[in-house]
Amino acid sequence: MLEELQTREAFLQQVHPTLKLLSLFTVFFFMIFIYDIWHPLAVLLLTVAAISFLGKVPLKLLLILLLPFALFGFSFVWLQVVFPEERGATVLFYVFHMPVALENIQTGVSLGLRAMVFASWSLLFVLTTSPVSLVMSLIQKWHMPPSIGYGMMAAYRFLPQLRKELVVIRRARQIRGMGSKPRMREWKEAGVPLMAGAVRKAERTALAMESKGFDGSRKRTRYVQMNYKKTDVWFTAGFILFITVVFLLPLS
Amino acid sequence: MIHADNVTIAYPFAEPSVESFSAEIRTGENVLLLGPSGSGKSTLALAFQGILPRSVEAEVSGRLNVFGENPAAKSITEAASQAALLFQDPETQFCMPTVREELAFTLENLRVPADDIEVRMIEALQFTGMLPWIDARIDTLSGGMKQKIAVSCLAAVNPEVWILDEPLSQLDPVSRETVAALLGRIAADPDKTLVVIEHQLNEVMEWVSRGIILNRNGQVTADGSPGRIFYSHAALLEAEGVWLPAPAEAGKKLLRKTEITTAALPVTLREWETFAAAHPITEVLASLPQPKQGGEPSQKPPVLEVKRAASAYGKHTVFENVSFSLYPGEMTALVGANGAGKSTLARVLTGWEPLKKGTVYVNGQDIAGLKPYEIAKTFGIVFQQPEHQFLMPTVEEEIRYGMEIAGWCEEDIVQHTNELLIQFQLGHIRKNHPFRLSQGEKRRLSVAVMVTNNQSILILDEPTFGLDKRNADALFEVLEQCRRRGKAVLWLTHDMDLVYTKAARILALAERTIAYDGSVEAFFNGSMDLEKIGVRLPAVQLMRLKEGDGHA
Repeated sequence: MLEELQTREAFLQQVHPTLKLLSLFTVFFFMIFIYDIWHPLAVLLLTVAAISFLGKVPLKLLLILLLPFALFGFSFVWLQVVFPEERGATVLFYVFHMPVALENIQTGVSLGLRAMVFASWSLLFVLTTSPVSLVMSLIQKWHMPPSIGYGMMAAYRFLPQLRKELVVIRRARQIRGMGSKPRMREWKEAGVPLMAGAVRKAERTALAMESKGFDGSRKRTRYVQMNYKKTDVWFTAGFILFITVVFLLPLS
Repeated sequence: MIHADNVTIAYPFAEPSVESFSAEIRTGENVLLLGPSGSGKSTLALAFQGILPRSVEAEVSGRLNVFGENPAAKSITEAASQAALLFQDPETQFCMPTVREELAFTLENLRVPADDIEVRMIEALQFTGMLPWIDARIDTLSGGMKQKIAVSCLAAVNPEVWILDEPLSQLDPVSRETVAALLGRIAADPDKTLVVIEHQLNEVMEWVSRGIILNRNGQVTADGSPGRIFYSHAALLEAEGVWLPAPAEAGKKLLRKTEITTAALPVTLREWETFAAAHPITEVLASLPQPKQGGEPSQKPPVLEVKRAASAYGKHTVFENVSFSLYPGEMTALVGANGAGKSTLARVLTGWEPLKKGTVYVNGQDIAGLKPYEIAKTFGIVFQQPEHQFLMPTVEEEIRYGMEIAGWCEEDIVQHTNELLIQFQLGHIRKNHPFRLSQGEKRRLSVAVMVTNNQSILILDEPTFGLDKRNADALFEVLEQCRRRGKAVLWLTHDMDLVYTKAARILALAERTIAYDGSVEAFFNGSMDLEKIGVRLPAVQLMRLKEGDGHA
């Protein structure tokens, strides 16, 4: 599912992962200076539009993924209203004798939307970037040592295996324990065989990688060149325009 | 090519695992390293490539040269391009998600120019027949296919020395045959040198030209043509618990009865034919293991009854219309190709997965209505990975655990625990941590803990996986005892040689249902379409058939 999205034939998927990563940091940086409601709202809507049109991610899926963040964002509104640092003057209405002020709602919504912006840009990155292309780009363009990059790839392969194994271990232990153990302890104990297995697997994989001639050095050829292409120029231009219009122009 | 003189290898704080190993392996030879588990075969394999002591900490003394140079002194890239390693576990040989990326990773390591990578990748995948899967995700492939991808990686590197550390032991018989055939094509190349460690001997004997036997301390005790050393060291190999290829095993028995002296035992089917021709047919047939007779139909009520069971993942039907019963005192093997649904059936039987249709009755009660602890009282389930089931810090406590939970009195617990420790030959290690036992001991313990509660059904998933002959025999002795005490024993397996001699009844899953339910003899006598079921004839049955043809 995720892999299929990450490798879709769409504009955002073609953009160099390092640029997407940079754009993510840039947006995060500019958001620091924003305290109103309209800027984060505009950024959020534009991001969602970009992911769904330029990344061909189904809008429904995107909204479902954003839902938990929306709830998280709403908690800011709640906090600002109930425990404000300073209660605003414009009281709109009362909830159980508690005044609800416009200013506090505004601050809350702004903070909540900011969280949603962070979430949406992170999704833009995660949903359109395959881990392999990310690691390859980091090695080739940002000088990440191959030993770390390929090590991360090997570890990434283990994740689904570990999850499957945990299910089996829990069942195996349930059979032994006659299904009568407190849950927390059970989880903790299942970790021991899981970790023992993981360490052994990691050792074997490390041996296999070395036997294939992997020495962790940068002296290696490149089957896939992660070079910057025309798409990246378009993306950069679009992104600069976006930053200028949304963040820089209103400042001047 | 490989020149070893007095090589001794010791891991830190341990006795040497290889002691004064000396051998000269020439270009084009295909050498089998044979010995009991713990004889340092895998250690030698790592040393030939230089990984040990380059990255695996160990003390190496003596002189070891590969291509006239100490492999550990070479750069990783140089060592890898000259000698490549194939490991046994198909799960842990890769670091990239897809086949293409893994092959690219391998070739990039060796600094193959980017323009040549594609060509070499495709050639290697054509060699193994895996080209259609070039963009497949490795974790979606079966064990056999993964091993073929691992072979493809070696083929892409194209080294002169191939070191194979149990390349077949974790595969099902059908994949074993195809992977062995691929390796045979490499072995046929006079420029390639193969060093193979394996205890699944039937397949590799076709192309192995020389055997080196190591003893428990990692010393060379015999070196020569396989047929000859199997003959001259038969007693030693038997004592060390090393599997012989089926023809050699039968040949050994045959020789005991006759006056004929010979220089070598047969190791392949073809050699067996010539060998057996010199003996009277009745004796030849008597020397081959017999399938177990299915006993009288049980008069007792079934402990497990499956009625028209069906299971599905989403829209994909795993099996349907499965009906059978298990009776007390039965030894049944559940066979079928990879992915035929054996594991799913086992999960359904034990109430882990719900049925889509049909019912499973345990001692007359519908399993759907039973609580997990009620199921656990009836079933002993032994998982493939013994560690998964261990809960306690010592072997003894592990065995006591089930009885304690069941609320037995201390006297009974002590008595029964001691009985089990003796029965399962675990007494000498009763204070050890379960995780630190050998593979065979772990497997015996995992069965021992399952029979503490007097469950009436014992289900085992691939119980002999990775065990040597001695441990496999010991395990089946124990299972046979359980059976005689009235338990119904059901095991899932790929190993037809084992089914042939140890099971009394076969259940075969194929084409989404039970394709066979009956005696072992009738299953293998030629009337069943085994191809359809996805299993191979056991080697002994092939030998029996050959014999029939030869004398007819």
